[in-house]
Amino acid sequence: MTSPTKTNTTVESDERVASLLLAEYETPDGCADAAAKLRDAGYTKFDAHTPYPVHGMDAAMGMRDTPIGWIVLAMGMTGCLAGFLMMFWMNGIDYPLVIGGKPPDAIPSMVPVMFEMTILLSAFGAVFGLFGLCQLPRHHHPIFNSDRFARATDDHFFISVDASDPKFDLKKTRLLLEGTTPAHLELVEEYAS
Amino acid sequence: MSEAHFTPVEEELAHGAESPIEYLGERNLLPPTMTMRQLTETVCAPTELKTPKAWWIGFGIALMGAGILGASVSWLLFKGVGVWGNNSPVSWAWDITNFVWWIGIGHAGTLISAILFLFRQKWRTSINRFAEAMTIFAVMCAGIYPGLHTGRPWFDYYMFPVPNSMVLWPQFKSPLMWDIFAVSTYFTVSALFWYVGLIPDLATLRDRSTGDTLPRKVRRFAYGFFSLGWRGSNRHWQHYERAYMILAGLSTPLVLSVHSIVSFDFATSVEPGWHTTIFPPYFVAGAVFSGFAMVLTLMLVCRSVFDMKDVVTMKHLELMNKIMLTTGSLVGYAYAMEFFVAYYSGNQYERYVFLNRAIGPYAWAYWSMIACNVIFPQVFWWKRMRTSIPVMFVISILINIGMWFERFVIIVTTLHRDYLPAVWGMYSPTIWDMGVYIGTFGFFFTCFLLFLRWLPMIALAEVKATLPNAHPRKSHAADHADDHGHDTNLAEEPTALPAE
Amino acid sequence: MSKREKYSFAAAPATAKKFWKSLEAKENPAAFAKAAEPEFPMGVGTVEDAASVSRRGFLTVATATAAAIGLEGCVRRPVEQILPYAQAPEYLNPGVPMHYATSVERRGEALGLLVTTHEGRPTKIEGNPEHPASLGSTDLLAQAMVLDLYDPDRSNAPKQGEAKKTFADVDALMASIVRTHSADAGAGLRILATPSISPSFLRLRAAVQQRFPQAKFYTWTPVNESNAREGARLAFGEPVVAHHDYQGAKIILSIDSDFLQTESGSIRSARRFADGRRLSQATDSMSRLYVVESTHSTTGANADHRLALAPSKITAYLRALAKELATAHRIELGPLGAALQGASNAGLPTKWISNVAKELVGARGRSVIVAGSRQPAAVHALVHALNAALGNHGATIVFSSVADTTETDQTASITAFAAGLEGAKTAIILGGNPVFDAPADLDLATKLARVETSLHFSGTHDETCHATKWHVPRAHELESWGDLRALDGTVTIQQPLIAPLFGGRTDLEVLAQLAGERNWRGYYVVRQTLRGAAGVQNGFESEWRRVLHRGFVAGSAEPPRPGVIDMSRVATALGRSEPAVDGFEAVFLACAKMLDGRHANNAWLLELPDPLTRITWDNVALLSPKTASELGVRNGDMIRVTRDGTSIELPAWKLPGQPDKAVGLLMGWGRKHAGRYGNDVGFDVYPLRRSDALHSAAVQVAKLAGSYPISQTQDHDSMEGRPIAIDGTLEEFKADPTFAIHRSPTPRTLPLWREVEYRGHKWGLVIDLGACTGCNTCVIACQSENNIPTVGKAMVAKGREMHWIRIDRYFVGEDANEPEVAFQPLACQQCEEAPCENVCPVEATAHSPEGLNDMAYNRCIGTRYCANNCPYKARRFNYFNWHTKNEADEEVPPTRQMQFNPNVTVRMRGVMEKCTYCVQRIETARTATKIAGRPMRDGDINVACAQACPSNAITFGDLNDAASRVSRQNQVSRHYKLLADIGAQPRTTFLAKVRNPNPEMSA
Repeated sequence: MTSPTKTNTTVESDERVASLLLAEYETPDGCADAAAKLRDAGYTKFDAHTPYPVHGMDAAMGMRDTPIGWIVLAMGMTGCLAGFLMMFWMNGIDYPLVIGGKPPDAIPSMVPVMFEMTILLSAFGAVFGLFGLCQLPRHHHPIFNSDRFARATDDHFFISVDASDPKFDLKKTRLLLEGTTPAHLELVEEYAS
Repeated sequence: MSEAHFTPVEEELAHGAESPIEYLGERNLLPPTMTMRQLTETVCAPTELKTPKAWWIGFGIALMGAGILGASVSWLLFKGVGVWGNNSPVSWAWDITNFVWWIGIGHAGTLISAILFLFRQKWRTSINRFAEAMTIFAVMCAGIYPGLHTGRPWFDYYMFPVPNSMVLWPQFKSPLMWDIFAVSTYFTVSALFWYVGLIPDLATLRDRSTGDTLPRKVRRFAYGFFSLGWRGSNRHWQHYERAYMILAGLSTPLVLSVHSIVSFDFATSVEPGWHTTIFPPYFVAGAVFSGFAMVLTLMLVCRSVFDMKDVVTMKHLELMNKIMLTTGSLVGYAYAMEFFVAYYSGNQYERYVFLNRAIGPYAWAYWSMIACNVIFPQVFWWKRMRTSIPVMFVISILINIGMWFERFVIIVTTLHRDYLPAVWGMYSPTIWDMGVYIGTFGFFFTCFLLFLRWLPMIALAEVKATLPNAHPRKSHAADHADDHGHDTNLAEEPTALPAE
Repeated sequence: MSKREKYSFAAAPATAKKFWKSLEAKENPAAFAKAAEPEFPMGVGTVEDAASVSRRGFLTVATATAAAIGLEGCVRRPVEQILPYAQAPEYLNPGVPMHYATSVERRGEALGLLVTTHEGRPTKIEGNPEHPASLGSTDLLAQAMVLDLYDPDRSNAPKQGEAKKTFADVDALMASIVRTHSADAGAGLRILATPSISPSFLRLRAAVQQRFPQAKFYTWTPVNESNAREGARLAFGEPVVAHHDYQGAKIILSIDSDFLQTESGSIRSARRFADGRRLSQATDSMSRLYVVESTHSTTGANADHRLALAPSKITAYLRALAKELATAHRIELGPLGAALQGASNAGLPTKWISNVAKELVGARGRSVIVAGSRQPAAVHALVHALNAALGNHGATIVFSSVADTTETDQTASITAFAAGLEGAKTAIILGGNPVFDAPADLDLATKLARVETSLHFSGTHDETCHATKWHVPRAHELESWGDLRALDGTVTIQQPLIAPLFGGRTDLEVLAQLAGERNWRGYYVVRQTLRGAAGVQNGFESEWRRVLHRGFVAGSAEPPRPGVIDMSRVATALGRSEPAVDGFEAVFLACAKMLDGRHANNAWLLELPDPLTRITWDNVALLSPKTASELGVRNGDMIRVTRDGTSIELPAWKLPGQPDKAVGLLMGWGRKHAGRYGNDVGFDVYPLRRSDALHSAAVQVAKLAGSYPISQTQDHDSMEGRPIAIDGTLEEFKADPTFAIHRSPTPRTLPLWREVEYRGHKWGLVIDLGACTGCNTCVIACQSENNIPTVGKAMVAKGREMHWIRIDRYFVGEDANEPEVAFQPLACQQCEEAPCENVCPVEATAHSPEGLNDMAYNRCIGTRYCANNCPYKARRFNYFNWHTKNEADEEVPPTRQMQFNPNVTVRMRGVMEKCTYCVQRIETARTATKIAGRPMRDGDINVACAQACPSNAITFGDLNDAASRVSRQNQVSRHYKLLADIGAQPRTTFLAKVRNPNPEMSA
């Protein structure tokens, strides 16, 4: 295990700028503790990276609830209405025909399609809402510059503190993180732009 | 693992539970010794190790099957629907039978991934990916039939609400239009649901494909591309879990609606034996029934081929057998009820159709249906049977046959003798009917084998979350009182949309 | 353009008459228009605009059209002047069909026809409403005739052996024949013709006789009227024709006579029979039909009481009946009474003797006994005697003289011809197909081979042509000039609708050449004859025009007369009763479709289900179920029928109602040289038919191993006790005139939505099951009107036949050997709340504002959901592209396309189709009446099935017009809706059949 004090020496800091501090933990507990510490220290731009959603992490990071439900609701209602208007206009207004002696704009037969349209657009809302909120796809996040980060999708747990955090200070933050006894701690840098 | 590791919700589940379905939320599904690393290795192995011979053989056969599909469909398009055995009065036969059958197969996938999820059944995590894949491929196969059984498939687009030279629109009173919307929605939503579930695992595969050889680079690029740069961020997990839960919540009524609407094709008609209100629930039960059977069949094969006995345990299999026993009995009840209603209605046409099913020229089909769907599954009352691999393999295949006969019986025995005896007729399939059916199997397995080879067949992230020590011992809720309840975990209890 | 050459008028004989029509029209065009209008609302042209089209202009258009639709210039107007029924050619508007009056010979009767032509292509045949023999209807064969015209296998050139020749060669040959026989006064000249009712034919035959005194004429057709003629000769001393009043008669006894379908004059018989049974209220009365027959015929299927007897027992029955009448009822039979003493009731059901006798006596002067053409002359004579004794002569039966009084028994005639071929130099065969259908023992083929010069004039290169040295194409009846004498004497004109497609001569022209007429073309021959004919007064040309216009010579019918019977001659003829055959007997049946085989290459008829067996594309040996089980044969099992030495093998079929031990053999099948459709279809039964027993014979029957696949359109005979083809007895009807609607009640449910109101027109159809005889004419009428394809035997077996209207046939009753039959014509019911419309995803079928269940063929994608959801299964699906390829993957020949009705879409593969109440006719009438500036009246439109129906069982019209026939029919108390309980509210409705059984028969 590398010493927590050593930074990544392969970095020429004159042409690169610090992007984030990355702390690695072997247990969800360590990770959650660290998150709680950062939260209590007033950090806002930090994140936890885990192979699976770790229970209690949201609380530990002090996150607000996700608005995705409302997006889906809106989309669902849109779908339902769109379906109704489509059928009502096509069969009832634009080209009404006598079908089986029934009124051209009979509502009952529209229910199934209205329902399916609701589901379809809701699903779009959920998936594309998710992508939007997560700002995915994003293939070039600086965190990928770390070689160890690969284990974030395997069996290790990471805490990243973004350099753009108002409270970010390379020394203070590092000390804070070292206090959480990470298995490894590194400074991830990116090219200055 | 010890009680200490449970969240309050789990405690409540384990102790304060009344309904048996909650007890199904079993623990110890995986061996306690299993570590996350091991898990990752096991699941990723099939996609990374050298392709097994068995796979190549299977794939070869499947491709041949797909070839048969190509040939049969080309001939069909070249000559016309007449190459099939359909006639008057039996205007629908194998085409719609197979359509309904394949759709039914698909339903288990959604059921496992969505409904069991909402019921907080942890054990589903080992099989849902697999089942969802099956759903998607099955729906593809099903989709072939409504598209090709028409007399002029090149005009199928008349069924889409697009302007055309005739300034006519689709006729939305037709159950076929409902079908179009239901099936296409079903396919789209299932695919999205599946893909969303795949993203974290694709990221895992991406991160494991290191090295500079070309194949590795290609892997890295491909998995990287489709994992959308997933980095396991907890801020993402939060949206992700909610979205996933919502999709599950949407898929559940969807899957019920799809087979209900498929059953409307028959239930809304005037044909005796079709015009029945029992059809929607009866079709849905049947769909789940056949779907589980198909999942089980495939599962048993992959489990032994890819040596996943630790991930897909006997516990999983037994639970599935229980569900088949239940749905099978539901279907059996429906069969009985149909007869009773036909008798009780006093409608001579209705009565005749059901008598004709039981003792008419197609009685053999009817009784094979009864045997496969109602009688054989009863062996699952005995635990020894429920836990015997050969038994459940045979039964699951029998059930698939039985469910095919169910659709055949519903469609053909109704049409071949309806109101006017003067136009009664018989139906027999041609080689081209069979060609298309066999072909769809080829297509299905081609897709399925590609899935097994290139994608994680187990929902890795979800299973990891079910491991011991997967979660912090103590809560860090601190002063953020309003947060508890949002810290959901998809392997554990999801919460409803924020009420407070 | 080369096409134009064909049309050049150089070809037309330069006669001054050429222009008179224009002159006439100039004089009084309005009269023409008025004459045209009420008869033909379809003729939408007005004289004014049409007159601007010159004849030459029209011909250019017609030629262009012909070229455009790629008909290889087949569309050629005859060069002679012909006058259309409604409009003169120069008034033709391309696109507007024209209607010409012509006629066709059928079993000694002349059927007056109206033929619809589009740009010179005859496409549809209807009956001539003014003609006494057709009454505006047609029979099955007349409907199908138009397809024979376009038979792709018609011979297109004269042949010597197999070598093609030209008509010049034929003329040279005729000339040489005339030369040789001028030398020997015709001693070596033998002429065989089909029996003719043509005055011109008789005139020319006399002329030929005069020129060649030694020449001999013979007559043969396999299904002929000789027995009736000879019977009449016995009874009255002269061959007269009996006319039966089936409408006035209260009791009708048919002795093996299928007068509703295959007998001579069946159209008028069917109409009158139905008229005698149309019940509208409880007080109405109806006739009662007893049928004693040796097979199960259409007439038998319509009987109130039916007795199936082996052929040899029928005479015995009639004798027994006569004896009963004479002894028990004191009917005055004079010397005949003594001759009947020998008669015994042995083996005959006595109730059939006592009751029928009682009934006949009870209806003296209001009954009819009719004998079938299969019955020997003596039976016919005896029937005449009984009718006379019952006072029916002059009341329900009148007589008129025959066209050709010199004609002798045809069996004798053909036998003489065969014998006469020895030492004959020249044999000329005019039409027919004797080598195929003459009595087998005559062995014409080999005898003909020995004749130095033999010619056969025939439409196709058939079996006979293969036996003669020369073959000359014979013009189709629709291509020929001719004249025919109807049974009642009405002189009827045959005018060509189109110039012979493949050249071709008519019998008249051949005789005229032999007779050495200068103008030997049919046109002149007929005019020549008509000049001398009755009813033609001074001013021949105007009369000629009227005749062509009307189609027949008005008032040329001879006044009917009662016959003066000679009982003693009948008595001697009757002689002693011959013993009944025990063991199997074969009955040779005139096929309702093939007649005698002349229609063997007609795909429509081949695919038409047999009225009773519902079998298509085959004939079978009909056995009673009892006999079949004794033999141990199932349907389709092969059997061998042997008559001393000769034997044929064919599949057996159980026909309920067939007499035990009587093997019904349908003639005309199994042709070897019929054409691509008819070759080797079915089984030839002629080898068993000998000159000594032409109509029935003792045979041996043996079961063979193996069976033969048969294609039926209906294989389930029972109604399963469902209220489908509802029928009741007269008692039931009188007790409850609305019994039908009580058996098929419309459920009383509140509508879930506001029902559609049909203002304006509301088309409806009523089918009177009481009038329907099940003859299948409507099926072919619909097929020819609506461009309905045939699909072939294999596809029929798969249930893919395309008939828009079908006749469902059910057997009713317990005893499989004595069934009652129920026929039900069924087409789309045009449901007001149509289940088919609800399920169509693309609006390809929807309701018109006038309540038609319309089909948009080019919108249909063929999900077949509508067919599934049709309770009547009235929809037909194009599983393949029937119109470009047939089931055998042969290209459908272009000549077939010439028959197509241009106003009806030709449906392609993958499209659903069905009856739409002939919507094209409705629209044509709408246009016509708009132009005429008047509302559509009842009768302006008639649908093809209704127009063709001989018994007027189908009525079409506007249900919103309270005065229309269909509305009145709808008020009839027998009225009901099929499967009313489904609630689809069918627009087509039915009138229940009422049977009139004699209670004492069941006692």
